[in-house]
Amino acid sequence: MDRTGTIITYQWRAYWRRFHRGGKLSVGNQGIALLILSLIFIRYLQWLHLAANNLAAGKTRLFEFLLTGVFLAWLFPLATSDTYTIANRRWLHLPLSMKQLLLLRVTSLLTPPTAWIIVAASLSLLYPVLYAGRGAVGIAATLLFVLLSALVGLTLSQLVNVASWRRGFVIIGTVSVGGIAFYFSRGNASALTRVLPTSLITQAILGRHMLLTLLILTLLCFAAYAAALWSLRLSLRHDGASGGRSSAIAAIGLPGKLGGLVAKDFKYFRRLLDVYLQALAVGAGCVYLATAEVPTLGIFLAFIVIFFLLGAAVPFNSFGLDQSAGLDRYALFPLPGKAIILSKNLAYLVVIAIQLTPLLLLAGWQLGVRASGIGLLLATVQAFAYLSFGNWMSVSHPVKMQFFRFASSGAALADAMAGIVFGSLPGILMIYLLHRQEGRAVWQIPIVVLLFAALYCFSVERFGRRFERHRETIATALS
Amino acid sequence: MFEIETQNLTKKFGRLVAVRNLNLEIPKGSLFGFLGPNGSGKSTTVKMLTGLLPPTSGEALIGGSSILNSPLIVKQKIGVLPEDLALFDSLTIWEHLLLTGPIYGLSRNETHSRAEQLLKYLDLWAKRHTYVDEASAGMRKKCALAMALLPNPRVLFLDEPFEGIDPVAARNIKDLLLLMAGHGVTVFLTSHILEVVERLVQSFAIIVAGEIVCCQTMAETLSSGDTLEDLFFRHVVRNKGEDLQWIGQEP
Repeated sequence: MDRTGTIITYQWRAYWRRFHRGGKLSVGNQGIALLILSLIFIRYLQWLHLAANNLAAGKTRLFEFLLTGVFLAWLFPLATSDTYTIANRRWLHLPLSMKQLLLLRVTSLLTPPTAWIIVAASLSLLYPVLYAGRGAVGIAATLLFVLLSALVGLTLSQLVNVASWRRGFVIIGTVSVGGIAFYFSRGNASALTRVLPTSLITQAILGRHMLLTLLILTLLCFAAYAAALWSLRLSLRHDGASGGRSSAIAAIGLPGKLGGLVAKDFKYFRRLLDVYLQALAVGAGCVYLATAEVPTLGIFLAFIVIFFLLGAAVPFNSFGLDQSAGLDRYALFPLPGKAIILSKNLAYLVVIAIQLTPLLLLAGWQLGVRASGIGLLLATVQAFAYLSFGNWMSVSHPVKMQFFRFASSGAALADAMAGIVFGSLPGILMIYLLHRQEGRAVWQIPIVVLLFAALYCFSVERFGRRFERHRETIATALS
Repeated sequence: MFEIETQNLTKKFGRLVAVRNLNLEIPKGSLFGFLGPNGSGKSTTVKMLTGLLPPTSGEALIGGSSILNSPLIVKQKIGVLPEDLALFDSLTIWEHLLLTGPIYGLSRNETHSRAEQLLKYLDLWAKRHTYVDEASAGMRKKCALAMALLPNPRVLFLDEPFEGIDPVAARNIKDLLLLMAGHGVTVFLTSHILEVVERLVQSFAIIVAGEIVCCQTMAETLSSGDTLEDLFFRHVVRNKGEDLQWIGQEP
């Protein structure tokens, strides 16, 4: 315990020192996350009181909803960068057992204040249980559920470090979504939800199958603990960003002077979880186009706007996946700063082009070639807008990111929000113009596109030069 | 005209003067050693000469081009093995070379051909698909060296090229450097391995606390009866370690 205690102390010190050195709480999105979580927590407390009343009256739906929310909140390690917690491999040379390493991992994850809010929210679940007068069984079941959620989140965050498991998640995710959709389409939703742990808990709280529920939850917790330990061992063996043997350059073979750099950043960007969230939006859009009786152009375009919104953090921190050594390499190449910025932008465009292609093709089939063309135009102008703002953010507020986590930005909350509004603006404007002024839209839309194209060219030129001047500062922020 | 020429090159970090009024004149086709203890300003000098760090004052000309006024022209002429190797995580050794060639204007075929020859020479061909973040320190260094050599530079800057390199590759690199110098390439290298420098370079400078304390040819050193090591320790103070008697004793 002495060893782990010492490490935890210094881990804690290093974490807070990082903020002190950064000089602002927005580093790594911690400030933004803290603010948003605090607001959600206040709302959550109000719901909690309502859930307590409902539970006392035997109504469980809201309480189950809150349990699901807490379960999802415990997936937060997936959004946490090891930069701010613990890079497990660094401890491997020390005489620490696997259980001690797991303890270090857990404590390092619980260091940020955002994690404290999640812990507080989890423990607050006891309030409705106590208010409803459901006693020891309810308390035990709720605490076991919180423990289970934490262990599942921990396990998943460790497994995404393993290449084979990442591929497995895609398959499992697809099969699960398909299976759930199939169940729902056959009207068996209630049968499915009855076996979920959230339902089990409410049943126990209401006095049904109490011992069986506690037994099941205890067994699940043991299984989850074993899985967390096993996944830690696995992730330590496979820790590292690479994994897989595929070569982006060989696979894509991008031509031109910047082809190699574009392929590199394409490889980097596709390793951010935001990209998979965007893929879900595309999937939903495709399902809409394929199944809606009368799909509309407006909703199709809204899917494209949402698509960009979900991946907004990627162009906002385009240097975040580079190491400071990589920044040195940019400086050694005989390339001006604008070429480096351009290569990052092109990589982002390749990522979104690959993702949006099925949606645009399906739109062409279902809504006609004109609709597909408008969609392409909207995607182009949105890309211009996000990249124009993103180039400023990337050079001015860089922050270190990690592969297979969600992207983050070092900007203040107001800047990030402004970027999202600015990025979405041309898309929303285009939808508005198409909806309101059908005739005049023919010449108004090209003006919008040209305006944002000009803005984009200006941003590449200006922030390319700023990159040359501030490369050392960016490298320090990424080290 | 000298291939590398510096005039009062100075770098300050706040109040700390890392390099002070550095004046060097290195002729074309020579092998030049730049020596000094840790923190003496060697790497800072290399960084300034290769465009990684802007000097606070002074000027440097590489192949007649100013690093301040024509940095891109200078970068087109030079190959660099930097201190931190400047490699990208999650790219293979092969990908690093394919990425580098076109940036220096090499065609795809030329890049492939040169990359293959370099990797075979450096004994990396069989491991070319290894990710650099999974490669050994020596492999990473050889990869960075291959990147420096790929565009066939006029001037080569090598920061600690022999550190962590196996003897076979070290011998190959030494032979290659001699061959390059014979073909008119100027090599500027820093190293802590004095024996290697002694046998390789034609001239050298010793920098201590940011200032040149000795600059002469190897022929001059040897004719005076000194070894490079003698000369080095004449200028660099060494701690004897009398306080470390506890090391190796039973706890």
